[in-house]
Amino acid sequence: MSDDPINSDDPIVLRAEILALRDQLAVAGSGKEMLHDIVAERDCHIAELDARASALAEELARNPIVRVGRAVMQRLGRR
Amino acid sequence: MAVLLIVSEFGPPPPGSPLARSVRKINAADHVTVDTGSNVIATLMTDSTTTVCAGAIERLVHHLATRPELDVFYGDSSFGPSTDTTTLRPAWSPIRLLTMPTDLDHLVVRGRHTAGSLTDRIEVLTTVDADRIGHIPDVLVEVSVLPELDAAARSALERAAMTRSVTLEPFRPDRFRLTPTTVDAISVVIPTAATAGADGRPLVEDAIAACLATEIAKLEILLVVGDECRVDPTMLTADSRVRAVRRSPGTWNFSAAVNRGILASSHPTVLVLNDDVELISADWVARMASHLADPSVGAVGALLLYPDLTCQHVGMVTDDAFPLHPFVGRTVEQLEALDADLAHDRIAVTAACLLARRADLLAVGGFSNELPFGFNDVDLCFKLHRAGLRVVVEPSARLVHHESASRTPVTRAWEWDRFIARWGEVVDPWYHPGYHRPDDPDERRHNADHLPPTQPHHGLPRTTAIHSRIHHARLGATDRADSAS
Repeated sequence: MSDDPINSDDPIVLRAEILALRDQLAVAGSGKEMLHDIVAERDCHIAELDARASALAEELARNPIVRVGRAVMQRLGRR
Repeated sequence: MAVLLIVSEFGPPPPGSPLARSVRKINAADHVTVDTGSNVIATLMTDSTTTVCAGAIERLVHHLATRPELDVFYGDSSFGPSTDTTTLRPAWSPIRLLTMPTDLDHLVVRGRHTAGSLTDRIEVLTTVDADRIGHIPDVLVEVSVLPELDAAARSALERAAMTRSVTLEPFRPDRFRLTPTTVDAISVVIPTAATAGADGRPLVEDAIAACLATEIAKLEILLVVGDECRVDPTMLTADSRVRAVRRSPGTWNFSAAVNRGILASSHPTVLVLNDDVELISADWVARMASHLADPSVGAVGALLLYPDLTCQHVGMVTDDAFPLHPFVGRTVEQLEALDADLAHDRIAVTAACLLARRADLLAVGGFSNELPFGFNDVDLCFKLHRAGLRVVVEPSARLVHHESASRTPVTRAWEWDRFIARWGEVVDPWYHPGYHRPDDPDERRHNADHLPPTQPHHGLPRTTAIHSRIHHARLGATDRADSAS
């Protein structure tokens, strides 16, 4: 038999176990709120990274070397 | 156009009164009209001697538009430009209304109201649901004369007390406290190792004496003891009202020990008490119990004084998620000057002396075994708040507390980690965000000392709801100095 309190016949142990479970239940809401908070924070971070990636892509597209490179690739593609 | 109707005691402020003059200034901004027209969105109820601060109406109108779930608002006040003193208020606190009613110098209520006297304001707050009341941390009005508590206002106050099943007694001019309640039956839970005091006697003897002095008809004192108990427990249980309860074997866990006592208790009200307290006056339990007549109250704390009779505990404040004791080391006279000797809603009170209903304690799982030494009392109070119950401190209930004479006052980093993992950052609704926080790492508790603001604060409306958000300690540094125990 394991030492899991559910196997106990001792009412003191069982009542303490009920209290411990109620305790976990009482803080469950805060855990959920913190997870929402983390998700919101990550979403913000992803949106920030997206914006930065778009800005870099635009900057890259404007770069003369990239433009020349693209033109060369197009010519090579035609041959 | 949004119209905010402004009324004083007998309707719109008389021409030439400070209130009328300040409102005319606002009219010039073409934003708000003092009008009896049909498009009234809310009424500012205040006295005709009040002046509305510049920009306050615009901010109020914005809050009315963006917080439709709130019906009643109040802000902070300033007392004349010359004195430059401001009253920063907590989120809605029913006990503050009862103990210091003249603090209610203004109120903003949705819809049209025809009068705005103190009586009217008290009556509004008596009828509205607590979750529809918002505090705006922002100085909205300038007050030159405190509202008068006339006979009508006094009657309204008594009716407000009756709705909460409590009665009031005068304390100081315009200040009240609850009339002590006759307590029929109470169980006192005292975890103890029977540590000896300076005179060699176990400290717990004084704690037992403090309980017996209350002359409660049905009193049981449960000493929760283990192998660490330094005397034979039978030496402490000579009085038939005292009995020893064995805690579960294993390492010391304050929460588990108290829970053992609560489960073994037989009365509907439980007082959790440290073994290192000493009596000051015999009515301390009756004064604490007076708050439990109000069904919205879940836990009551007391004023605990160091042996030199300076303040050790008068409720707690959380600052950056960390629980702190305000006003540590202040004398009782200094507390009086700050109105800190009146009952207040608090985010938490210490378990060194905590009165609650047995049923409420059991419903939230008692004290958490995950927090064996520190933070367990704050954790319990958070759980009670989450269950919709209030936590108050009653400073007229006083004990001497030989704080931590019986244990080392150390907060372990892992306990802080666990506490933060459970609750994250809970912003304290009853501690104004505008109070100055010196942020001195060696004297962190001063962040809770209600220090006057150094700059104006224009915050958003807040209610008494307790919310958790992720705390930066979970993302990095965890080691914190001990400021509260």
